Amino acid sequence: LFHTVEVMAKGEYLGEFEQLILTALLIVGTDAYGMTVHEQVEKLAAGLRAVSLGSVYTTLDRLEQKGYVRSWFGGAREERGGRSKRYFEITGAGESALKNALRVADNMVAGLREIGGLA
Amino acid sequence: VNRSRSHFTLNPKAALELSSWVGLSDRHFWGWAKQRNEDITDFRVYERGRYLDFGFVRARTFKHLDWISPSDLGRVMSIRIDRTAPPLKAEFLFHIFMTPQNCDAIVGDLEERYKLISKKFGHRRADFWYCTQTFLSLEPIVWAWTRRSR
Repeated sequence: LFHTVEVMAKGEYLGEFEQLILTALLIVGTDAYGMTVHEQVEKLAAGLRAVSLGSVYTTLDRLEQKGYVRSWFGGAREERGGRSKRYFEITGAGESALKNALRVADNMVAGLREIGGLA
Repeated sequence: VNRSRSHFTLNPKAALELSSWVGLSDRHFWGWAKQRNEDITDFRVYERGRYLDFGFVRARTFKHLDWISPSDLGRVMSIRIDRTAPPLKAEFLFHIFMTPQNCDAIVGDLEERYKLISKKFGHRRADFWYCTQTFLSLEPIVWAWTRRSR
């Protein structure tokens, strides 16, 4: 445990919403921009939490600062009122951070199942 | 000084611009303009008898006005316009707290989805979705902006 705490600096932990966003990025794949990511996050959240486009963008910005996501701007499109898309892609560091986070979640579920807490 | 009041219809380009700015569609627009020599001194547009106040678009709209004939007040020309624009200009709100490129991307996303919902479920639902998303999105954006500027 102490080793894990040492390896993972404070900023490397992923919050629940960050995990959702990274998962959505992996699912959407190459066509990941604000709206497609938002739609996917809404599906994953399954109505259990409200998801706004603004929160998706701010979280993606934060993840980009952490180095878990990279982004670039695409060309302007007419159906978007001549506005460009911002595409996103998960990085290698992002994938491994997500894997670590999911492993912890798996351990929690397994631990609870062992004592019959999630019947 | 030559003063006149003219009924007009908008040419298709002006109509499209107007519909995207004002957010009205599938409706009939008509109006009149007061003219003093070459200058437009007043401008009114009505939709089914309701006066639409959008003075802010005047200067740009005038370029596309097709003048019919002065004085014939009983004559109303109308056109049909498909609505394509959301009910409010979200970029004004987002522009304060985001970089121009980011603002462009988020407003583009909103507009793209707005058009999809509008096609599938109609304008009212799309309007509601757009307004709700815009205001819900403001909170995290403002919060992030506050933290950045600290």
